[in-house]
Amino acid sequence: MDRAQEDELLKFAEEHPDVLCKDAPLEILEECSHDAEPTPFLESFFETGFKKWFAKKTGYDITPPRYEITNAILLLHFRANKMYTYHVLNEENPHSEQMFFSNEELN
Amino acid sequence: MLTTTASGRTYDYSHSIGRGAQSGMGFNYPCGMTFGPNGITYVINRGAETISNVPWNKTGVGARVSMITLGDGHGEETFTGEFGKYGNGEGEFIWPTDIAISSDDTLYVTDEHMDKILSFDLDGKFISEFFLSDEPGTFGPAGITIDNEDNLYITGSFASQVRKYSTSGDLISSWGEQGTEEGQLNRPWGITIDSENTIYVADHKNHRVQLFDTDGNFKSSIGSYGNKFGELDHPTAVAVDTNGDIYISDWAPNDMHWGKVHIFSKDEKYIVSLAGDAQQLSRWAEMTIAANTDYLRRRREVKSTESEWSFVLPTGIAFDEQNGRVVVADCQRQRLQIYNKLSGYMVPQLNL
Repeated sequence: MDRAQEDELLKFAEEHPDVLCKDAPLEILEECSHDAEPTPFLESFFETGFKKWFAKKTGYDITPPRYEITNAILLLHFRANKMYTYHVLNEENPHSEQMFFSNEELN
Repeated sequence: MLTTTASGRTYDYSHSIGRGAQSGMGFNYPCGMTFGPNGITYVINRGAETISNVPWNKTGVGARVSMITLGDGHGEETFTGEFGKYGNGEGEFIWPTDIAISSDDTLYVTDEHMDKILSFDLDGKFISEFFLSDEPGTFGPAGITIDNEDNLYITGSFASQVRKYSTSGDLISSWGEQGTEEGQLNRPWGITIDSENTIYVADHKNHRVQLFDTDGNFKSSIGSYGNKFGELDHPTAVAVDTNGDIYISDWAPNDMHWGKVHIFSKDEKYIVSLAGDAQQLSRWAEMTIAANTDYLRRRREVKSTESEWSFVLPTGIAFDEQNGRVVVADCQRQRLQIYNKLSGYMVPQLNL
């Protein structure tokens, strides 16, 4: 993934905080499958989307505490990695109707 | 050395499989494996507990059983599926540690934290589970092996004990206690059984492998602490091949890190050690690098990649009888390293 693609995806996270898992960019899912931990870019991507989703959900432009953001990044990265596995194996994605940047009901 | 020859045996490095991943094509601290009749290798991923400020049973990611085929060489491996989930619910595990398969093709997985054994079918469908204690954390099931009558032998890392169970979870017998004498154990880990029903236990903190019969009677002991040839340093797992050669993975220093596989003959004489030879990245790791130009550029700035060839804390080992090869779970490297055991190898003759 090059810089231009990364910028484009960060813009996507900024503008589409309520995207559903079934519509999540495949490039992101694949990128998540490449390592056990999120790269700096993926951290930025999930943080951007999560903060926007959180603000939209609460109706207030507030930033959640750092630990909540960190946990959300790990959980969203893990789910995205699982979603790529479903894609590779051609299996049904049980998260498809959930919001991609929401950490609700994730563990 | 890609090819290691000693005492009439030749171990030829084949390829590595894996990269760090919480799901799919990669591993998250692989620590045990078994071979199914369907050509699938089932690999235990211990996972990692990385998420803070959430309930204790929801902190982990990556714990699962990966289903892969090993292939015959670099790039031929395939990912075919995965099953299992981190948690303390039925059919879930907190610290999956080892896996074994019975004659009716049931997979048994140890959960060291929850003190339980879970069973799955070859497709990963949960069948049942049974507990080894009333209080999780007292026995610590780590290694598991199964004899030809389908008795389960399970090491208890916390209890320093070996227990023999039926597949339905009935305790048949047990032996061992904390200590350093013959028959005593200190944090036993890997366990295997050979074709003559001798049980081998990696006595992790006593730096030896102890041999028992199926009733728990002590037979002999291999190794003592040290870093010289034939000495052991925190053995983690043991395997035996069809000729009776014994493979012990441990954490002795290699040239770069910590981890060796020591090979002993059937009569318990030291033969040679392997230190890891992954000179070529696995296909999955190549995919990661190919997709990330910064990774690629950074690697091109490195003078040598030699430090990534060797084992780092290997914790599982198995002998693939069907294909005559040793498979090592190179735990901290998130990969498997595979060596073919060659017969009839001819030493090259070069007259320069």
